[in-house]
Amino acid sequence: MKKLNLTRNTVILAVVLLLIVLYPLLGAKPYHLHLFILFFIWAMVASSWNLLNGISGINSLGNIGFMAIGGYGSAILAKTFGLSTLITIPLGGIIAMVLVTLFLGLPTLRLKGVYIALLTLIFADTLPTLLTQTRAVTGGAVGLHEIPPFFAGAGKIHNYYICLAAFLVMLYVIHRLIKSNTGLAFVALRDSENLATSLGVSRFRERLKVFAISALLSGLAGGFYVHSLGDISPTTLAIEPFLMGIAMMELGGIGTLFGPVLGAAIIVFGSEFLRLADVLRMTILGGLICVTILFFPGGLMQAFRKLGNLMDRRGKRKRGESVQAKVQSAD
Amino acid sequence: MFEIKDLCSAYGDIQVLYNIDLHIDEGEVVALFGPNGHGKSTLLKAISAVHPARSGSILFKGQEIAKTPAHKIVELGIAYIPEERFLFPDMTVMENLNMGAYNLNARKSMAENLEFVFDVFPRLKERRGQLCSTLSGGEARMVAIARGLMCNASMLMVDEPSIGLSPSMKFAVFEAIEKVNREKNLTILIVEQEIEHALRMANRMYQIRKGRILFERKADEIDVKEIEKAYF
Repeated sequence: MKKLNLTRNTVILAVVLLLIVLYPLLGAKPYHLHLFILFFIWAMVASSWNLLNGISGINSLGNIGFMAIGGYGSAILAKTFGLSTLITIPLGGIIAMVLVTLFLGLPTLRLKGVYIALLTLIFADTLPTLLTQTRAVTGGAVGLHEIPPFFAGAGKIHNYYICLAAFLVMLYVIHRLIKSNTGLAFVALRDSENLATSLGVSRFRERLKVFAISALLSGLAGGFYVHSLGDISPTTLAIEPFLMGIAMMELGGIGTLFGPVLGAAIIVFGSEFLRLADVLRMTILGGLICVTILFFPGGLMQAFRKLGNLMDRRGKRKRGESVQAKVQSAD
Repeated sequence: MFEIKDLCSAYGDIQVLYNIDLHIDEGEVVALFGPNGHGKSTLLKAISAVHPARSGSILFKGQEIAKTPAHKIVELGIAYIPEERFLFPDMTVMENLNMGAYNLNARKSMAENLEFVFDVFPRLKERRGQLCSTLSGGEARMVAIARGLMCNASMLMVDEPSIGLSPSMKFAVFEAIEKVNREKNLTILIVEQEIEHALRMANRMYQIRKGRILFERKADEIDVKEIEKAYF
């Protein structure tokens, strides 16, 4: 049964990926390319956020802040110092990583649950104030504009492929991380701190690690954000993007690899599509999230898994195999 | 090899263990008996530093470990198999076993330990890809013990391995622990309520009551009546 499931999922994934790669070549409108770029960036943010909230069970409300630090860092380095984006984007990520590990990773070692959420929220919330107070460097409330593109003369189509590649690489890295010993240690600490430490997992080391990795990846996403869109301002840290990020994780399926990606797709494309509904846009999205969480607390990934299992069982029944066999062998 | 002196442990203001003295020789199986809520699990938690002791000394292979943090204890060679919440439910059997070999000392000999574990529990080999939340109670216990073996420890502390299992499963679990002791010469400290089962393999036993060691007996001088009396 497992094998069948795997091949079906692989086929679906391959087809979707192929369509995404070919899409710009089939004469897509610039506006649609723009939407896809937003999707790639949001998928990166939601996936790196999920490392903290889903995989490690540490309630972070600060990842939009991490992203903004990376974005601002990269933008300032590129605009003011004229450095290549090949250097500024990684540097932006590293700046985010260092700041977050020092100012959030270390203090949260003494905190639990909702208090971590509060601290990370305060961290992200002080950023707009800091940004408006440092106008000379960050452009203040107006923000930074005309940020250099990835390379001179880069157009939408280039941005599309750069962000797609970054997104795929990041997703692969996260996939490998989750399956590694480090990823297992994150999950172990989430599920039972006592048990995890009794097996040799250091809470101190792993918690700093997950903050560092999540901030680095969110910061990198911020870099891709500023160089493909060309501007960033403190409104990036407003309540709406923040809620969207959380909604992506919850809607898609927190703690899973593809959940945040799926959530990002639905929120980005859905909210554009729902512009037709004007003021009702957020209400409809909010309703969708409520319904999903009510029926599938594990998000849409859980719904899909249930559907997949159902189809497998149907298929087996048709082929005359025993459905009971699996149940019995589980005893 | 292992010696506890004058150990006291408390939860907040409530003291649970009073002046515990206990020693275990290499390769020995020592059973710890006592009514519920009298400090057996607390003692194991104090040794593994999951809930560190207030005072007292714990010597392991001549080294003082009472102040060692929990994640270092397993690296020194003491593996702890807790009674409750003993598996990671969202991990597969194999991933749980990997977690057992997480400490640096165990990673080196992982392949060898895995082979031994699958030899003791052939059933786990079949189920290594299965999520632990879908295992039966007996299988889950097996995974917990197997994971303890993956730690590459020289001493194993097992907290009530038979709790909630069917008679045949209980038998299988005890048989496995006996086999481990015989073939790997592991030192074992086992907390049990199934006195008859535990006494078949124990070399020595301690009786705990109200947080104190009531008495200690060698295998050939154990009187089950005396133990039963200590319970009531």
